[in-house]
Amino acid sequence: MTAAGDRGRDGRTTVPEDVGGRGAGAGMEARGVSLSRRARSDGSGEDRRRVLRDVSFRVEPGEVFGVIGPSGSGKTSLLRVLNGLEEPDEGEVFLGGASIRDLDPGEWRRRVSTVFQAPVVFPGSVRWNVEYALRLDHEASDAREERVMECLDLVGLSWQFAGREAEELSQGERQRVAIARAIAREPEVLLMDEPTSALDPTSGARILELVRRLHRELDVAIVFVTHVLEQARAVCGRALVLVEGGVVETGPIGRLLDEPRSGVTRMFVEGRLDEGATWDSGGDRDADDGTTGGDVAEARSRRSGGEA
Amino acid sequence: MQPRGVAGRQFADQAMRVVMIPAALSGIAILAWILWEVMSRGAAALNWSFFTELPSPPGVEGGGLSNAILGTLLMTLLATAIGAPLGLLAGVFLAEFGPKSRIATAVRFTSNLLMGTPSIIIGVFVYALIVLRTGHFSGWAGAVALAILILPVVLRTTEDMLNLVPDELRESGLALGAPRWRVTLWIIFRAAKTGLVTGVLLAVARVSGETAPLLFTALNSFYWPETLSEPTANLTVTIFNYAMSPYADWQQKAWGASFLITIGVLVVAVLARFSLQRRAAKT
Repeated sequence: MTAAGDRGRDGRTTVPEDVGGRGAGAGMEARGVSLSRRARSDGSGEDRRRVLRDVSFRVEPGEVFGVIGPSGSGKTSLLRVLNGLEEPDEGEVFLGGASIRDLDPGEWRRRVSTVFQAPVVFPGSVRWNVEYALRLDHEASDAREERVMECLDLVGLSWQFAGREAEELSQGERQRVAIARAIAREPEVLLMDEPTSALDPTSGARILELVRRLHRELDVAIVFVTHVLEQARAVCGRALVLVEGGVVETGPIGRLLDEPRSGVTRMFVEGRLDEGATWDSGGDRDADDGTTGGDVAEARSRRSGGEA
Repeated sequence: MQPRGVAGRQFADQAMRVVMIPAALSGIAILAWILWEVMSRGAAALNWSFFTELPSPPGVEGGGLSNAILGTLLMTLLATAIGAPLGLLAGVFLAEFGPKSRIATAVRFTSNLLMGTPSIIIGVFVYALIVLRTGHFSGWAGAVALAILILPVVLRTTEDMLNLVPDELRESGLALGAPRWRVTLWIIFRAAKTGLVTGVLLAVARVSGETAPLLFTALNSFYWPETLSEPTANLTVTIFNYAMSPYADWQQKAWGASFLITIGVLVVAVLARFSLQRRAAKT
């Protein structure tokens, strides 16, 4: 068993009730994270677009922390920074007091695992997919097999799925495999990037139920990214509202959605953000000004951003 | 410019068909003609002794080309063993580790240049590099020449095939904490394996019919290739020699050897196509 598996539940730290946190795992903290990308791929490094602006927040051990915001607000970019797939221009991310800059990327990502928006499965069997993560720890094959079955059971896939080709599964089942793979090494933080957005409503509801189950049964902090407010309300304890790469407001999800303190949050909750003066839905903006159109920029820079 | 009506579009469509269909058919017809000629003339030359016996002396009927068959197989296998791994590794570098680096640009450019270089020039190069230095023709030199021809083809197909693997797979692998080399070996290669095998098969098919580089390197021999350190019999140079000879028996054997190579290339091409179709069906 890895370190996370040794964490006893008796010793969970107490965190405020409205935070929804529990567990003895390490909390995650982002301090002043800023990220910019080249706006155009013409080779000049001058024209940069800010994607994240001075983002700070703390995720308590064992809580489900929401990152909510409209499309293109930088949610996925934030998750990529938290996982270490992208390095911020400024600021730092900490896990249990250790900075991401001080830890080996492999060690960081063992402790901070990610489930992506599109259900990504590797070619091979379901067993192989989950084992992939475990092989990195050089665990004995018996222990691996046992852990694979535990994880499949946890995500609601019976052992009969183990031998099936992962690429032949439905989207919902694939996402479960991706989640099983992500929790196999018992991470302290699980980053989930809109894990239901590529799924039909039924599969999506099952994934949400699974997130709640993971929260109940594992000592893992979950950062749950979504632009669907009902989903955030259903699974998150606290959340931050991200608009144009900046944190607008942080707080308990019920308060954020029902009694927002910021006008921008209120407009987002009421679906009127495109009417606001601070929001420009176009992606072609001047450097240091806008952060919209992030998805396009992410797609363009994905190759270069994935360096280990 | 006035937009064309439906009738205008249909006319243009028909006109293009009238031009293109005969062009496509002429290409197929020429290929079919070559295949027919080779098969009809070559099949008759194939018998048991063709595959089992050594060549007969000039003017004497009978014998076979077993040594040339073995020599071709040995040199092609050796060339694949040298060229394919190099091409694979270089392709992996271009696709996975430094796609935009200066060295990648240089390698890509050089590889494209190498792919367009006439094979006889490769032969002359290896002649100067190995044959002149060792003082004799050899199967090793032949294999090296073929390997140089295999390398850019495998490199290019490897890069293309790896580029087809979705980035999401790479990032999912990296996001779990695996180093990039492991993601490449464990995930990207698994995802692209049929494409990579296809690339190697196509490269082998490409070089198995090469004559010019072997003329300057392996040359030919009437004997079994007991070692590759001496001139080594091979089918393509044998075809060249036998076809130019005045003996009807040798000429027929040249057709037989041509038939054998054609069938070999056909089998490899079909295998490659079959594996590509399996890949397409899976994705």
